[in-house]
Amino acid sequence: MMDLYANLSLGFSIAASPYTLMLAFVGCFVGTIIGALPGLGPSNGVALLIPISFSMGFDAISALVLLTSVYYGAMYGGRISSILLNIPGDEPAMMTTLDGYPMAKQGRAGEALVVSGVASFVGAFLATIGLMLMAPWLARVAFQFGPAEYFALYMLAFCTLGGVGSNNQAKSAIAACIGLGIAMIGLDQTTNMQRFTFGNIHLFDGIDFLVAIVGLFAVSEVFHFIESHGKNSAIGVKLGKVMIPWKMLNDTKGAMLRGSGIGFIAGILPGAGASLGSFLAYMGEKSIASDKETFGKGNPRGVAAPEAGNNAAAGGALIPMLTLGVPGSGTTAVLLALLLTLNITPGPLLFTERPEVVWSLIAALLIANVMLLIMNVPMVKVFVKILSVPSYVLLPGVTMIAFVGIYSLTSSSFELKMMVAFGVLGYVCRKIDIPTVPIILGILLGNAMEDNLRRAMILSDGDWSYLLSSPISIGLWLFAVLGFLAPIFLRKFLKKPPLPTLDED
Amino acid sequence: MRSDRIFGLVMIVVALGYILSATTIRSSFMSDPVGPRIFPYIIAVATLLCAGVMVLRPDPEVEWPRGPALMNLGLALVVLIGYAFAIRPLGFVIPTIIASGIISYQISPQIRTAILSGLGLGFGLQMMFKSVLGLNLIAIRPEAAKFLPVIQPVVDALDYVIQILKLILVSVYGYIAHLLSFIF
Repeated sequence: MMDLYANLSLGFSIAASPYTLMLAFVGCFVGTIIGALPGLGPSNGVALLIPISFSMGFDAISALVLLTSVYYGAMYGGRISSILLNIPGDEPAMMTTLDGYPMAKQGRAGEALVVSGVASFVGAFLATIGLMLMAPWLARVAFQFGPAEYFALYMLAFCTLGGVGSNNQAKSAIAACIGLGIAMIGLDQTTNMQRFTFGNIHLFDGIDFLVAIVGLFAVSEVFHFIESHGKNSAIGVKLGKVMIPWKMLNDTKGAMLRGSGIGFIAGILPGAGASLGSFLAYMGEKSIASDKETFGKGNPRGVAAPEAGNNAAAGGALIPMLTLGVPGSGTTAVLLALLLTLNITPGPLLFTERPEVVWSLIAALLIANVMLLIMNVPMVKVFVKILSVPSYVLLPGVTMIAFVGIYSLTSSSFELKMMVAFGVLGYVCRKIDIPTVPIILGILLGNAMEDNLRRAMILSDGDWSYLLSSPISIGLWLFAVLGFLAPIFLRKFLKKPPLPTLDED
Repeated sequence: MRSDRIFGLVMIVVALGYILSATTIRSSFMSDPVGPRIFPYIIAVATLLCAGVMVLRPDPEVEWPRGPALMNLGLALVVLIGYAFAIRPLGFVIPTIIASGIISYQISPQIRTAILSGLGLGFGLQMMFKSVLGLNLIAIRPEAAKFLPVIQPVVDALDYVIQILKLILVSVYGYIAHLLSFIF
């Protein structure tokens, strides 16, 4: 306990400087906007900003504070367009539309925004505290991991991501393979031999994961939007005066706490992430409610539970990412990309060798949460105004930001063409329901995964049974197989409820 | 149905090519039991399996854009690729005005708003990245400026305004910090 206190004060001593506070404020503000704008979510928002903040020459802690504030802010902001426009600002906010939009149509938009804002705060705050308590403990456990265990862990991440996160196992597995295959391009780390470069000098260093991320997440959105525009043109709901509905907050506090708990656990599981967190929180709340039939028709608890759930999951998802270096979701994959860009290798060593990074990050998260609560409850109208930016300005703007980010990082037009190619790949994948997150994860983890396999084989002198020689790795492999196969049987029970329809009234 | 099968077949071809290419990776004197070829082989075999499943058990067919919608997407792709080629020789502003103008027109087909948002984004983003955020971004190359001499003066004027605003902000911040230092 004393440890925790000392660590936290170390974190706050770094994070509470005026400069860092300003960065956190800017990050929260930009993040909320990114989250609120339909089509831009935490993952592509942070992906767009990494190259830019890197070219601006921030040091590691500043960049980390700025971009994690953006991450948390986007998780908060996603609910705004869910409630007002019935378009989830990002994927995890999808469940919030179920009761949020009906509430808004009944003229209770202000109340829905406040309840969901407070729920976001409760979820994110509790999860950050959970992160503080659990991460150092998990980091100590992670010290016992050898190469064989890490290899199994990577398998677990791919398998659960494929099993839980998608509708078709073969498709998510092929996505992971595409990512891993791309990661192999470039010079082999151990032997320095060229692999799949075809003599092209641009490929010697491999394909930059930032190029792939921005292409798959942001550029593909452009194609998707041009194809689908007009189809879901939203009917905005007017927002009246925003009052704080104390009674409603009191009524929904149980839902917030339960949602936070469920979301936090879902966030820790590799491969699950915020979307599953909010989904399970909503379904859980609905199943224990006595008034089931009012869910989907504007029940405030149906807004509070998934919002608490997705924000708690966002915090929980940081635990495996920081302690093991294995992200559980698309957004944490992007944050892993950020850490790797900053030359910070997540893992147990991070906690012992660079505690200032970890603890200033945690302190920044706590500060960002309080800032976000202030921004998102009394100041919510500001963001509602920003939502009215017409898409014919927004979308070209996003595209150009993507190009500038990558261009200022690499100053090569080869990388820009590569980014467009990834955009096309992302569009096709989205069209035929192949998830793009495993591709990113494969590119990010591919080299580490191969490296661990080869080191394990060096230790065992080529004996492949070494991969299953310790109880930890056997357990991880079991969970991997289970996580990949179990959803086939569970899928019947975990059907997602449809979005409320937009009827023209 | 069909698109899953086509994607699966394409992936089978790619995976076979990948294996073929992997066989040409040379080993080096620093050898380990696995070597640089085994992991790519594993990936390719897994890809073949998954692609096989996609060919044999495809999901229901999705609706692809046809006719004008497909043309629109093709145009967007051409614009983005053209942008990737143009940004280096021309500088940032001109390609951005053209590309964002076209994309804007594709979303909302009104000439006036498209031109305005193109101009706004071209100059606005240049300001934001260069003058406010300090990225190293070239507004327009001298060779290109010969043909469109109006761009550079506009960029300079806007940059001037931003610098003055920055100065005011910094002095206000300094003044407040100065006042605060008296209180604490």
